Amino acid sequence: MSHSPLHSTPRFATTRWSIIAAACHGPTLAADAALEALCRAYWYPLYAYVRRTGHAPADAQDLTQAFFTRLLEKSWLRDALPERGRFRSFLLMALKRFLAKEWRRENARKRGGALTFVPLDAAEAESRYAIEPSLGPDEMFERRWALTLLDRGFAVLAEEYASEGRSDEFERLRSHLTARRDEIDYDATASSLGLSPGAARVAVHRLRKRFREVIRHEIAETVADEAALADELRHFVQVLGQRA
Amino acid sequence: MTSFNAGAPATPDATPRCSRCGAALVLDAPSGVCPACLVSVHFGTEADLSEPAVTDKPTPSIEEIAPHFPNLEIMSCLGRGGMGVVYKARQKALGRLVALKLLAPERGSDPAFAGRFAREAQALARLDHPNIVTVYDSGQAGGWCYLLMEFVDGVTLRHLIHGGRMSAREALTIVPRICDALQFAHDHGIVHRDIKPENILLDQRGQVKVADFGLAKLVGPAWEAPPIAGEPSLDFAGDLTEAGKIMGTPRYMAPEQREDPDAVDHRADIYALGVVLYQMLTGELPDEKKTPAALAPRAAGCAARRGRAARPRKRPRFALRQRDRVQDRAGIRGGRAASSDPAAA
Repeated sequence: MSHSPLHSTPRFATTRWSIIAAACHGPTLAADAALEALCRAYWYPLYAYVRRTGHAPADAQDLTQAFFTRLLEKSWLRDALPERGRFRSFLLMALKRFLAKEWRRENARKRGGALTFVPLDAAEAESRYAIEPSLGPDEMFERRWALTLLDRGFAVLAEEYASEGRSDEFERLRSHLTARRDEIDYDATASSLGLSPGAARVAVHRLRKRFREVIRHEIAETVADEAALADELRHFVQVLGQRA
Repeated sequence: MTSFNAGAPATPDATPRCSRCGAALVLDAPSGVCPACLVSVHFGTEADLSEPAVTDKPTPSIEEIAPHFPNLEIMSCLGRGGMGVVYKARQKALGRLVALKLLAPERGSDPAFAGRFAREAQALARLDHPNIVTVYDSGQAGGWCYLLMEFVDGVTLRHLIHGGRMSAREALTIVPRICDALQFAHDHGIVHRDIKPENILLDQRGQVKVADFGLAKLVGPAWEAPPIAGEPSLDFAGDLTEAGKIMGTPRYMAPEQREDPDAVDHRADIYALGVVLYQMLTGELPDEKKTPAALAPRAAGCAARRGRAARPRKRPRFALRQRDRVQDRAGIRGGRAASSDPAAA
């Protein structure tokens, strides 16, 4: 009898991207809401991509904002067909098409500059961009996407522990997430947490297991089926496995 | 104009580095953790990237079983093992969390099985011990034989062993409690028959609970648990059935249990516990080709070896005696601190 959830990933009929991709004959309210939620979560990788393609900060902000505006207002699904399996691919392809058109028209400011569907914080974006490693636009986007996903995973964990009044435990245990099993000093962990060795081992195990579940869940929100999840997870590992 | 180098750190020597792999840390990576180490540890191999298939046996859905248990709010499916499917549920009247186990769902319509189940369930209900998962209720519903049990909010010993081998001190805080549970059951005429890390639970306070007493006799050999996602599997040497599935847990079985399963007594449990203790101390299953001395603390290793004697009469006669032997050897009986440690062995 193992007391852990059998299925840690959501049912794909209800993932955000599957709701979006299913609305192929016209956007629905649920699809719009899901798209907006995903755009809010993953705006920075797109901003960094736009910046890395050579746009100045002000132009990059306007272009990114205009892109989101178009995406949220217009026939975004018409362009999504070839990349329907995963949100990441769809978003990057859609952004590239958008930039190609906007570059020719040179009217980004007129088209979307005043709208704020997605909270672009110019100062925050630029301070983050200033410390980015020297990667090309596509590589930058992929790496930032994966790091954003990781960040979201940590935020979920922190929130879960906080909701149970165990933030201190999370702070003390989080370093064990990057340790291999035989690298963890459970006796020291037990002393640090004021637990028995057995209880400390349980606590570490639960955090590590939950971390994997949360990451899998976050990725699943951006894909439409099990096969795409496996591919996307592989991509995530490959991108982050390359040391900066 | 594209500028790939824009924004590179001006003072690379000052860049924080991962203490584990030495790579430069991404400055705004989550809380300073190294993403490369993170994915390497948790999603390191191809096998870890997909969810493990628990079994291809059908698992009744929550919607399917809920109408047959109107007093319960079925919350989630916790897992499927050889003994059946376990669900987390809440008793509506009491608000108490419970574990609902449907035993061998595919055999629910077998009258002989149902009869044996009813007799065994009555015996299990008498096992009221702090280190044994309590059985609250049993019966038949919707064509399934079920047990309603204490919900243990924790993990199995198997998961904990995957977390790395244990110090002698740690192992020896757990094993005596298993001995207590076994002795209590043996005193009530019940042999577990399937003692293994999967059936030993630890709750969040580190309290030990032994699950599935007597069910192996009722249901038959257990399915080996699947690998844990993100954790490399141990070297379980299971038997392959014609269906290609790993069956049973032969590495924990006493020799006499393999030869004549119906004739085993409580000493089979003592043998299995010896294997479990060995595994806790070394992180491995016993292998006659290997010398465990380098891994196992001598004192505790001796207790593990004695428990695994091939001949039942060579083993400690009672679980309590094995408990005392373990504690004596480790020097923790009567509250003395354990001094036996792998590093010192």
